[in-house]
Amino acid sequence: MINRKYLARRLALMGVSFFIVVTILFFLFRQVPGGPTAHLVATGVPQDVQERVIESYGLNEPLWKQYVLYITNVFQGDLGHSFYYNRPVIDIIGDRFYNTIILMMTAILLAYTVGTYIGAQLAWIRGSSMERKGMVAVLFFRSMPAFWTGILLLYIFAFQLELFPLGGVRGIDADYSTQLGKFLSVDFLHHLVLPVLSIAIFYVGFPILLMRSNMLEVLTETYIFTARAKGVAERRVMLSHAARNAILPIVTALGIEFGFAIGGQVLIETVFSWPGLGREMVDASLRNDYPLAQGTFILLSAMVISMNFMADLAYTYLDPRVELDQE
Amino acid sequence: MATSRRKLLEQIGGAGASLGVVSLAGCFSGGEDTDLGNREATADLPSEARVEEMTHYTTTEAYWSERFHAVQLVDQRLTEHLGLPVEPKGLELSAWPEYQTEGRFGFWSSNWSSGDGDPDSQLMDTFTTDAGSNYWRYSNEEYDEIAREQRRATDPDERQELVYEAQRILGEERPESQIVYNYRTHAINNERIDEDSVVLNFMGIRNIWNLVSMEPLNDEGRTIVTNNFDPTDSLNPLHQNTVEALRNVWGVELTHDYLYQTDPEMNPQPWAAEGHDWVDETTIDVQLRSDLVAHDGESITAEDVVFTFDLILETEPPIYTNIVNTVVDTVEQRGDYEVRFVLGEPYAPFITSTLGRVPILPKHYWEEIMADTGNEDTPWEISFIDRDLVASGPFIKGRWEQGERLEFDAFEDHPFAAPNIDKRIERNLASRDAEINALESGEYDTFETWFGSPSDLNELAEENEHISMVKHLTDTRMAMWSQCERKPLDDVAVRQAVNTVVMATQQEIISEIFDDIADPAYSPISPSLEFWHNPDTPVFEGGPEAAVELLTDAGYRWDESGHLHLPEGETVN
Repeated sequence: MINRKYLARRLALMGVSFFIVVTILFFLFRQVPGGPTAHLVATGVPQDVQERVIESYGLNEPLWKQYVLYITNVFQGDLGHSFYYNRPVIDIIGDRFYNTIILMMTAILLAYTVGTYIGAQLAWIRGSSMERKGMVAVLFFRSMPAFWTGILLLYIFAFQLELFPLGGVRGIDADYSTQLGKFLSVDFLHHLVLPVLSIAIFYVGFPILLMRSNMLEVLTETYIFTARAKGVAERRVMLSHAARNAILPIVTALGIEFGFAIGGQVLIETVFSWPGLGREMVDASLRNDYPLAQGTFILLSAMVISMNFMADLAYTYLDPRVELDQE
Repeated sequence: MATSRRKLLEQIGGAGASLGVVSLAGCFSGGEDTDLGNREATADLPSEARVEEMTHYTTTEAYWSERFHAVQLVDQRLTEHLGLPVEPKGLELSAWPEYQTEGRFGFWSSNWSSGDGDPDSQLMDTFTTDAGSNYWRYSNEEYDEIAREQRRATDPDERQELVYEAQRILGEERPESQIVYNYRTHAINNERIDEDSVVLNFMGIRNIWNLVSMEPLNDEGRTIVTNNFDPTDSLNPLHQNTVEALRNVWGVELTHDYLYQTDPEMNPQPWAAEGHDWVDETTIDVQLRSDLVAHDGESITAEDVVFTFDLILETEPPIYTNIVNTVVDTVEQRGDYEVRFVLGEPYAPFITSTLGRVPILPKHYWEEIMADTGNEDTPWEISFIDRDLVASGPFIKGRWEQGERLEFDAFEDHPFAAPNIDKRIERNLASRDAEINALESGEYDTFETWFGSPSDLNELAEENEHISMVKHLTDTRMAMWSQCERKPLDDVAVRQAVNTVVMATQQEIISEIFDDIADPAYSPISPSLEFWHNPDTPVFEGGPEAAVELLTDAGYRWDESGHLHLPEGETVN
């Protein structure tokens, strides 16, 4: 179980990590060639007008002053105003966050659920021809880039068979009053199928391989022999005794995967014209839209840090032998 | 000479890699195998006279592959024929201002358009000594005077002579070498839209005359679904991204009325105005139509026009600096439907470039939203993503899910330009391939913008009966500018030699890269601006031999590896 001292220490560590990341982000983006002026200052206007615009965005201030203001704002929950969109960063992120999360979470959950089960099965039937065929298939899926799978699925099912839309998250006439209404609609789910499949097919290989190797290790443990000696049904031995113990690294991997999910799959979002955060991160970085680029990466960092913590907590519930308050 | 597009692209693809190798080889070898053409090699040239490698920047290959390949080919020829070490490089747009303002380049390539059919911006904004966009640092007092004079010349014939003369000087001095005059290529679904009703102008099908006159052939054609190469992100008519960036300008033009609009023949035509009278060289009275009405039913009168210009004069949105703030002194209402403009000094492009580019903002609406948002001093910061946009143009802003879909509904009560279609929907797909597939399958009705290869559209139209490709010569030229303060490009002879090589490469670029959908270019003013284009603009021909001759006559020399060196007594630093 967790004690308060550990929790406080862990939270403090998370805070420090977050502060360091935010600081690095601030200075990193300002090292990129070019600057935000392309989107702030009209071409051909006199020098004094250009300077006035730059000044209005505070970009004429010394870097340390900009940094202090930025840090102060971030810790007050203000991510600033996008140079490119001329809107609060939080609004832009909000629009795209849900699209990406729904896409990625669905794909990852599907991949990890199916992958964990298949990995356990492959370990259970180790040495058989079925396992060998299964491993070839896994390696094949794992080595196919997600965007390539996406293009293939798009070509076959959307363009040739016309069973699915070519891209986007909604039909041309679809209109939803709420985000929830959109995500629960048949139209949205119809748009979701191909991108989810493209990502899931790529992701599924990792949990299969990880689960299989963990299971192979666990299957040599004495408690497995004991369970079998006690006459426990094979399926129960596999799922309750072996798989439950083999699943711990899967939980860690899943936690990290969820953390990075916010970054989306840029190429998949491009192939399927999915208006998500992944593409926005890349575009914002390319445009030197500091506030938006920083905002998206801050969100990503926060997710990774907190999901790691959640994975650690989940350990204690999955394996009572794990104690988080030990040095 | 390349025998096919594929072969040519393979060749120039390897050019970048080979350039570095050639440069290195020049450093370490005697260069016995180098084909010097008609260049004469001189032994033991001083290293400080050796022309340094320079970068030729343009947009990335992903942004516009044709332009990138054209630049590659030109650079390859410059290196090959003149021994001028030029390296092509694609640069993200966000990095452009820094490199341009600091002059960190040898050559720069992009496209430039008047935006309204008047030559003034082409001559003034990029070539006069103190111009904000004169990144090439070209300076010529005689030229400056002529360019300023044409701006003041309110008599068209007198102004034409000055515009011709300005082109002559630019042609002679060659701070710019034009690569091609571009066409805009578009596609339409001819089963839903009557092809004969399509009106083209210098913006292709993306012009207000077309959007209001396009005839649907059936119910499906009443809603036009179209693309945009980048999702629209701003609809505020005072924000620079809205007025300047191609992905956004269209939204403002659809929703707003202007006093004048440039017609398909490139002439300013009264739109919201009935006409105008020049009282003297700096005073102009404009009569407004009396039947204009805003989207919310309120009448549009002279008060709204005065409000618009006063708002710009008082708050100074940067984007209107050059066409309003530095031009207009005062605006005065002289009746319900008459406005008097007083200019600081004579400004010939006033009708086209000012009255034709400033949208009329309804006073009652803008006063309200500026008060609501607290943006009285910075109205360009107001976002319209989650807000209605009330204006008086032929279309009304509808639903907008930024990055996914942007709708414009026809304004049926528009007094003289009510559209024939019901709705225009801009839907964004993230790749050219997806766009092609969507047009083919009927999800798109038109391509309003096409940044892909023209030959892809050609092919698409040939393979699909329901798709027609339309093209129109724009007033845009793709060009390369020399950094005129950098050796050896500060020498007119070198710039003329560069122009000679570009001219010799032009036809290959047109046929192999643009599939013949481009015209040879030689002046900054396109022939599509018929009245202003000087067909006798000086141009340097004769191929690589003539270019080498120009350089030889100016004292330039080459070493055994064919590398260009400055004339005797000159050093690079």
